[in-house]
Amino acid sequence: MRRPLPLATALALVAVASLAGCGRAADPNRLRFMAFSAGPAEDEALRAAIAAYQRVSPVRVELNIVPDYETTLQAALAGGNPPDVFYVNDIRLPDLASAGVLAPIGDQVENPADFHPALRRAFSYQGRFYCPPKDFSTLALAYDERALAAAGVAPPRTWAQLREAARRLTRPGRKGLVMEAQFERWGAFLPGAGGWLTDAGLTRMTANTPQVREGFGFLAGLHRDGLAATPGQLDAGWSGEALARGRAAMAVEGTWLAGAAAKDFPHLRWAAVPVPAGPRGGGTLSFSVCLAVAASSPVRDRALGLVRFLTSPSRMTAFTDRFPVMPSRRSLTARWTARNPRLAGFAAGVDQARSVVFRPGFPEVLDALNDGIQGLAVGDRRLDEVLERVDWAGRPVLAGGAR
Amino acid sequence: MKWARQRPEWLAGWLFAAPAVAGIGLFLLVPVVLAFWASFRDWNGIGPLGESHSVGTANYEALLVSDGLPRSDFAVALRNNLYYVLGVVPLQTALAFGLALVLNQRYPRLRGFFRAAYYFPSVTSSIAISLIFIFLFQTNGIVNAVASGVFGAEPVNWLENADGVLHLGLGALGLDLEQPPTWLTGTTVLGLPLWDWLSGPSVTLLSIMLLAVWTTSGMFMVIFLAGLQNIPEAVEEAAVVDGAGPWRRLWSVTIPMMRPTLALVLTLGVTGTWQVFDQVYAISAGGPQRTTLTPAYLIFRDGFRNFSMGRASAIAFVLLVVIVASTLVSRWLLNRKERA
Repeated sequence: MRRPLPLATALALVAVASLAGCGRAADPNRLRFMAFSAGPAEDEALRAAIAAYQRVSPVRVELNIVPDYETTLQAALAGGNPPDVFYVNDIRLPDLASAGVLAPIGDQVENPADFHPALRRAFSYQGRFYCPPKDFSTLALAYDERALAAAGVAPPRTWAQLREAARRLTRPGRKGLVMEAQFERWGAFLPGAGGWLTDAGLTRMTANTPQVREGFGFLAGLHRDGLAATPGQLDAGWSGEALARGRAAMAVEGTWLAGAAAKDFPHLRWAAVPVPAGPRGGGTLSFSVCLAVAASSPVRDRALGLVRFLTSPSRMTAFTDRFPVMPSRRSLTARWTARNPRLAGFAAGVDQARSVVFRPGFPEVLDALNDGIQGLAVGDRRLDEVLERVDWAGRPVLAGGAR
Repeated sequence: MKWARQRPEWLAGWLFAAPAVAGIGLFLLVPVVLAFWASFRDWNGIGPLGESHSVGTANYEALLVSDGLPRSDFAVALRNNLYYVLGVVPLQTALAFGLALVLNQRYPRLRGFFRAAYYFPSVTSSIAISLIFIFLFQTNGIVNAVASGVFGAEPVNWLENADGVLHLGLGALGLDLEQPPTWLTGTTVLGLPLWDWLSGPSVTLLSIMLLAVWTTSGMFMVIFLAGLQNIPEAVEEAAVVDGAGPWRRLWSVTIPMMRPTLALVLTLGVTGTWQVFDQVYAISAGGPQRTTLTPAYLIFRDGFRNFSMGRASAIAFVLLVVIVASTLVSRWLLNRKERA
């Protein structure tokens, strides 16, 4: 090698290398769809749905199931070249909608009034229904049938019955109730006390009120009296595992318990009743995922076509038959409940379900609340102090202060 | 041909360096500059950075000045990580040095085996190691089984235990933890009462610290071993001739001659421990009750989970200042020891 690499060649190489990967020819027959999945069963249901779409549409759908979904989606959005269609968790909706990255297509699918009102609300921001929910889950009180039968305890329907049942089911090596120490479980008991973290218009924090104190106080009392525990205290990764290993007799868990039970602990005989009702009635939490279309997608019409197909009643029926999630359309609920009698406890709470959706910036307030709930569950924080702190943390966020 | 010969040499030099310079610029300098810019903006990390608005120093004020949740979270993260650094760096350095001294004895065959064995954890995925530690530290896990089998200790809940170790120690000395002294609870620094600053690492953070010591000391041992093998045998022999015993040789010959290596290990240790993330992510996600929240995890949580990328960038730069400052302190301590 006598001569160094000619300058022009080197520059050309650098230029080619930096251009590769940038830029994307907008192929109108290609649609990029990013999703996440809870496991092989959901993977398969999703692939079957896409295969069905490919039979009726010439548009080629590139399905990308991503493990670390939230981070990948955020990077794709910030990079300005997001997938055309993607899943959005309800808790992320306010932040994504306020950032203007979602096309408001919720009302452009078939019969949009058919979606459960609570889910419509969860995916609406400032009055616009952004994206149709593909399906949803609720929390219910799942229980070990054999344990309850052996103790002669009927599935509890009210708080008083829940406490009594937990007392009679607790014995050395087993707690009556297992519950994750987070708002996504504890919040299910707030409607029963008539409380919530904010007022309906999201203008004012209402965490530090007698209603919330009553709801959380009930659960903190169960933990304090040794009738309830967190999965971690029972050496379990999550509540379902604690239930399956016989370390707890009851658990507040979501519809996904059905899938996990069928796969990981088929020996468990379990059933579910709605979250027990408090002095102000029943209620539960719902968790949902919608099918969003990117505002910046060059093929928005085709993306909408895929979303319409996937959220149509027939496809939704096919999907929710393969996989234990509930159809987000009211017209399909009765049929689903009839087919899944064991999951009736989850479906029964649909009408009083609330979602954990607030406003942009609110997730960090929930982080602060979760710290407090962890303290209440192990008994080293005082309820008054926790609620005061959440109120204090939430006020600047509701006032629209610094993000 | 004539053109090629006349071309100055510096051009060829730059040309050869160009790929590396472009790589460093693209993947290091540009992101750093962009992040610094973002730390003065209300960027949510979703929309384009250019469309965000300037907020002046509001992100930094939220962390350091304004009373609110961000400052409280940041103070807790600093406290946790400070205890983490103070615990892990001396321990891992001492352990690595001790192992290196032992391995530097006369058995070259065993040396190769043990060097590989101790180095193994540092080339294993930290997430995989963390998952194994979760099993070890369960209430019914091996750690508790050994502790109760050998010492008759009560089983400890390691992984969901927010009790501060120093608080527990003070409690054992008879201090009433329900009623701590008011001068400690009344005085606050960065919105966090002194009493909370003095909690020590929580039991859960302590488990993560043990994990970190075990994982990293192998790597530092290899560095120490290389340093030890650089010490000329003549120096050791001269010390022996002068009648120095093993301890005397260690303190007066080996350690002084290892000072550059020690400085390297301390610097790497301090910068590494201030950025602890993966173990927290895999084991505790900042919990229980924020006691394993670290600045690096807070950056991830605020930036990628709570969409406050501007503030997350600000945390990164405050963390940079903290790392530089504590590295200087550790270097100063080392130099001072030498002069003494």
